Amino acid sequence: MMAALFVVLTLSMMAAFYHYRNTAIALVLTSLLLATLIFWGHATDELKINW
Amino acid sequence: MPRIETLLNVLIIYILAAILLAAFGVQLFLNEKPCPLCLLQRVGMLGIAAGALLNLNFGSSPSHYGIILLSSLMGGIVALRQIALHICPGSPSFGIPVLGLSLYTWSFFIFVCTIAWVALNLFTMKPNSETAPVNDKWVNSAFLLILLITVANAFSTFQQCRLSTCGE
Repeated sequence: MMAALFVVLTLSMMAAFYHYRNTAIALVLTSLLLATLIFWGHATDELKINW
Repeated sequence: MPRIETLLNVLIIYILAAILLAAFGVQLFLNEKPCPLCLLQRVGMLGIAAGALLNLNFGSSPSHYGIILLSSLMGGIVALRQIALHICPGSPSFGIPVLGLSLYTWSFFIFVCTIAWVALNLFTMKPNSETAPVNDKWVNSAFLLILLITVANAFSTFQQCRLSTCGE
């Protein structure tokens, strides 16, 4: 799941380079949202991650 | 795009690439695997680079700077959390220090500097002045470098954590 963050960012950079602006923006925001959810899962102990 | 703004956007991509390469060096040569919080900070830095790439490929725009700000905020909060986890006197720090500060402290400093840089750019940006994209060899090489680093991070994170959120 953590690797998915980097995969989504890779896709967003490629979308930006090939001039798909809205796709690139959507993918970056998706990645940030996923990262925030993972971080929230830690902060509330919902995901039971041993940091 | 004004030349100085182009230069700063390219420069920030190269600076972030250097930082992420150094992090890879620590990971591979000193055998210090990144913790989940460290990985989230790397995501924040790559989000900043993605915003800068958008500026370079589509011309500068407040929405692109918004993405840079959101990435910096996310990364900064994660770095602050990691600082807080190790701040009590007597508790050990995590990872090797660089110039006396831990890596997550430097990471927080970088995110704060990025927020300040975006604020300056937005302050000096003229209204309704979304500018033209830039296409030269420095931009293309910056894109290639940061893309390779992102792919490398994806592979190493998958190798370390598989399909989990790491640390479990």
